[in-house]
Amino acid sequence: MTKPIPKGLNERAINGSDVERIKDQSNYLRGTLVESFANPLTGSISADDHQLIKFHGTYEQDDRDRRNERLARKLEPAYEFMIRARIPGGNVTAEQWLALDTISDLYGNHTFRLTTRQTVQFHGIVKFKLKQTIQAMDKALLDSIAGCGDVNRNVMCSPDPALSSINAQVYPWATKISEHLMPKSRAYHEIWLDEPQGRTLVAGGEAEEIEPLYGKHYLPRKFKIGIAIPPHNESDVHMNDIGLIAIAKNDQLLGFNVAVGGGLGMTFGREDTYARLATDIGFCTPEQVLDVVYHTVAIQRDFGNRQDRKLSRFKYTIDKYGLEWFKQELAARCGFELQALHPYTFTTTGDRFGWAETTDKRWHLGLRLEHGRIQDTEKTSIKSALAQIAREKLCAFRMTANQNVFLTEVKKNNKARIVNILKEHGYESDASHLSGLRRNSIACVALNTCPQAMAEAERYLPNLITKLEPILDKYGLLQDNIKIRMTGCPNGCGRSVMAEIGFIGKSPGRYNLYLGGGFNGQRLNKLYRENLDEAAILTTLEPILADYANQRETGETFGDFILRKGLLDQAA
Amino acid sequence: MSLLSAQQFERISAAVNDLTPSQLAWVGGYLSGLSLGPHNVIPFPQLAAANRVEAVAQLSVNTTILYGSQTGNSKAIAEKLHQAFKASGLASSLKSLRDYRPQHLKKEQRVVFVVSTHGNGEPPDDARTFFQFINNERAPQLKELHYAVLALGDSSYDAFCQSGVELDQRLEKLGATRWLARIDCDVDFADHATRWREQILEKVKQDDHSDSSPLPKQGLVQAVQQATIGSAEAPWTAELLSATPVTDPSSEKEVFHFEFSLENSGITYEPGDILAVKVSNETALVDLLIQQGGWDSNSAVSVKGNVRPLREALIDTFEITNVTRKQLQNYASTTQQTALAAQAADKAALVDWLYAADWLDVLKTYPAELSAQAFIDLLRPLQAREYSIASSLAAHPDEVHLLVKRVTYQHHEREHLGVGSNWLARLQAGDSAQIYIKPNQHFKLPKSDNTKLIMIGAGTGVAPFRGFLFEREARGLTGNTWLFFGEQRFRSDFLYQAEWLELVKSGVLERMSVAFSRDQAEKIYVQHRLIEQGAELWQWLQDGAHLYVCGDMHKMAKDVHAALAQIAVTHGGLSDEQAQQYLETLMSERRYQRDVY
Repeated sequence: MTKPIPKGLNERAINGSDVERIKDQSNYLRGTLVESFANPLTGSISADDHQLIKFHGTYEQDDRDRRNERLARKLEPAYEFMIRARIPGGNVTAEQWLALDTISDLYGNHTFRLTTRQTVQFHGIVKFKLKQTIQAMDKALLDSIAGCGDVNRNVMCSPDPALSSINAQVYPWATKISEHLMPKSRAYHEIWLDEPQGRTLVAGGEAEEIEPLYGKHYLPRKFKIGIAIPPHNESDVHMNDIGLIAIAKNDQLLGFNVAVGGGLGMTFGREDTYARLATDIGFCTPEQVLDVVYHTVAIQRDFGNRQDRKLSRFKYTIDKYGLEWFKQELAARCGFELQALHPYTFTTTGDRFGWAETTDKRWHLGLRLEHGRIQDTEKTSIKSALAQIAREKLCAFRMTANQNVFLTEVKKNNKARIVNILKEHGYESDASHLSGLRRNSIACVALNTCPQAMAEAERYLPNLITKLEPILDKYGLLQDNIKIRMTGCPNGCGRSVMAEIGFIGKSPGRYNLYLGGGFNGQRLNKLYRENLDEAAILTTLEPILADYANQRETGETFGDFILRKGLLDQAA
Repeated sequence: MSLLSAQQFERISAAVNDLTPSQLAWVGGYLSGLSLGPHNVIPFPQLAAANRVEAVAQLSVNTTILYGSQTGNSKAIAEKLHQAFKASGLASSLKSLRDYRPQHLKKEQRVVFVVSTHGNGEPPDDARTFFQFINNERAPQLKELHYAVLALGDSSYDAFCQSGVELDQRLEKLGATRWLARIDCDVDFADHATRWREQILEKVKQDDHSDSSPLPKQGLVQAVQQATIGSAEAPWTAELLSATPVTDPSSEKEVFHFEFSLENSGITYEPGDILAVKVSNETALVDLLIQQGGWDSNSAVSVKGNVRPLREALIDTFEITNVTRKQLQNYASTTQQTALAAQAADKAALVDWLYAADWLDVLKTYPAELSAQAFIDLLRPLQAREYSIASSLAAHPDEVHLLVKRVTYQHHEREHLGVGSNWLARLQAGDSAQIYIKPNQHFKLPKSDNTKLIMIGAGTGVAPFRGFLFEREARGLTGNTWLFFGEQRFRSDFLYQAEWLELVKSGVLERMSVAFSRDQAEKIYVQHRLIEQGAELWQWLQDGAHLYVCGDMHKMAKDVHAALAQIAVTHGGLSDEQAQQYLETLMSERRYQRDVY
């Protein structure tokens, strides 16, 4: 193999993709955003700004349900923006939750959504209200810097406070890593928060000064980091570019096993794209972890593919040059080598629902939400309930990677009040009345707002589960934990390829069915059948579920059963 | 005995011997116009001067390249093909199916399509309107058209390349000639697309340089001045091609865009002209009126010497939705209501009551014994409704477009419907309407194409400016145009937004300033935008710009006039009086024209 040649920090990639050109010309993420947002004739922004705005944590979308109707009416699509906060580890205070709630009413579509990366996003914000939205977030000490874009994204961390004092030791690292890897450009502050304009481009050397880590061209593609605390693996830690597995002894954090090269996104029709789980490569101490992630990001910055964005995630860099090369490069840059891996075991990727006590004698409630959507409906008003709880400052809030929320730091004498508020709003405080399948379900946003989606997900999966439940009931599986996930496209936001039953949308009403993922998040599933409509989904799954009920071994999960029975050998 | 003598027939045959089919069609129209009397045709010298007969000789036939693209692949292929044409010195034009007017298809000779398939065999979003057009049962025959289709798709879907297949088959069905066999491409389309491009170029070169070309090469008569003109006396029965709401459903109002066909009518108009539409009353209102009067729908009434059933006459012959003071006085005396007569004499008191009152309100409030004939005799004839034309013949050949707000209001505790707008709103594509043109000499584009235009329109008042700008686009003009537009809300009421954006993009519309009154706490109207940008506006006027104002007479036009005067004071240093004088002068010089109602 020829020796990999790094791209110079300030050098534009040869034959780089168009996004590379846009970054190059953007003056550190400024582009023509100010002009685009001042244009009163359209709710959209320029094509180049479209790419840049992602680095500011927001995407331009449009209401796809209404697109054709509006075009027929000679109106432009109903453009609106999705904005995603940067909340390392998913922790917010009651005051912040209340601010988020208010923002969704003032500027958004009266709902907001907890994401699969433990943060919050708003939909339906029109162009002319985006600046006010960001300023309102800023007032609540929240930002959306690097919420999207070719940078390190929101850093995840196992959320369950019941994991005792280890949790408290690990949590701060999510924030430290996030801040260590933040873009340093002041573009965000100038454009949205009216900070006086700082230095503009001058000749030579300024890249190192303005963006010491990222340089002018940032990363080839998005970059994700997550931390898990065994035996819990709620954040599916191996789906990250860097997965950190906390290792503790006698309630003392020793350090992290480092796993690299995870990533779930793939592209239909591109055989050279694939999902990949991160590989465990070694152990580092807490003192070393910032260096490890920093230099890993820098290696991807220098060697990642900038020509073809379908092949530019870190996993392809790793597979192209090999793990050994990477380890050597990392050791050279860090000035130390990783130590031998520590053993650990993951048991689940699911959230634990209901009340539990932490070592500091405070309580927390694991609350199940329908795909993270915080909204009031005719039946239940969880949005109002949580706002009321926040208003009374009864708890803090911690988003989970499964689109649920923990109400944390609850004093014992406030528990009843929380349960009452939920009840008044038609909401059960635990999830035991739901089927195991529903408790373990994830769906991405998909239609009507996500531009990538080819099929429904959030708006459909609950209905599909309702149709699967009688089948589960028939075979006595109603309470069994089975991990089901649905995404509207193969990009992987809903982590379908890690589900025991995974669906990826191909076209309206049609899904590819993937089976056999590991319940603990350590095995990808495989494509089982293509292009199924609802009837075919039900008739395909019923006999497999029946066999599972009758032939499983004690404690055998659905995914493991699929594998043992060799069902994937006859895959599509 | 036959209609023509043998000699007459021979002379006519000789005269038309060498005419093309299009010319023959024109002569047909000319002769039938002549049959109505010599005033119905335009004398030849004027006709020639009008420069409407444009015989366009082409050395090589233009190839129109159209694409329907969701993810950009089709677009990229189409662009490459377009570049290849250019590089080979061949004429081609490139358009997205979204921007292409499907009505033009019937005039095309050679079209190449690149179209992808999405979802369950659906065309890309930007091609939907086009597909709806060609799949419509009333889609035109395309005898002249030679076409080729490159279909993109993903064979892992059931309906592989469905849109391309559909298009290919449908065009054949409409009488077009498949000029090259369709190619269906899978996700690995690059090689196929390249081969296809080479084939196309090869074929074009072959066809255009050999005598056996299947395409006619020259002498297409593109536009023909027809001989007869629709008039109030002899309106043209025009087919409604489409009726589209152009406000979002969330809007507080409903505004419609109508497209009527002028094909074979010989009707011409200029941007700024008025279209008159013969309308009829709503049958529900007529029935209520008959019920209130205690009449019989079928009772015979005499209308200008003809005997007609009452209901019919009320539907299409008389105004029943507005009442004048004079009519009310006549009603009072006919029905011997002295109290009402006294009231009707008091002008001031009646103004409010009569505003927006209809005859049902009168009969309900002041009931009286009255025969159907006596009632009919009180009524005025139903007037044709007039609308500013929103199209340009140069850009929309054989069509005339209107922008109409459906008028409804609550009055006397009942919903009242505007006659014209609601009649139009009830029409469906394929229905017809009696129309004629009313030329509007007071709202015309400047003589010189280089004169700057400042166009100010609120609500449907923006209609004529669509005609202006499309006319300028068709003439290949860019710049020198500034449009002010006002409505209630950006999201729901930005009439023709998508078209303005295209015109801005192409530079035809140099500037556009918008005011949406209800998008913020304080009300912002067009006049506020005028004042905000007063300095530049004054400069445009110094550069000789022409001003056009269209829309509501009572509020908008008045406020705009005041704003213009204020600008003349602030930026021109004029006194109030001088400013008024300045505007008067602009008006007398026809540099400040208004179409207000």
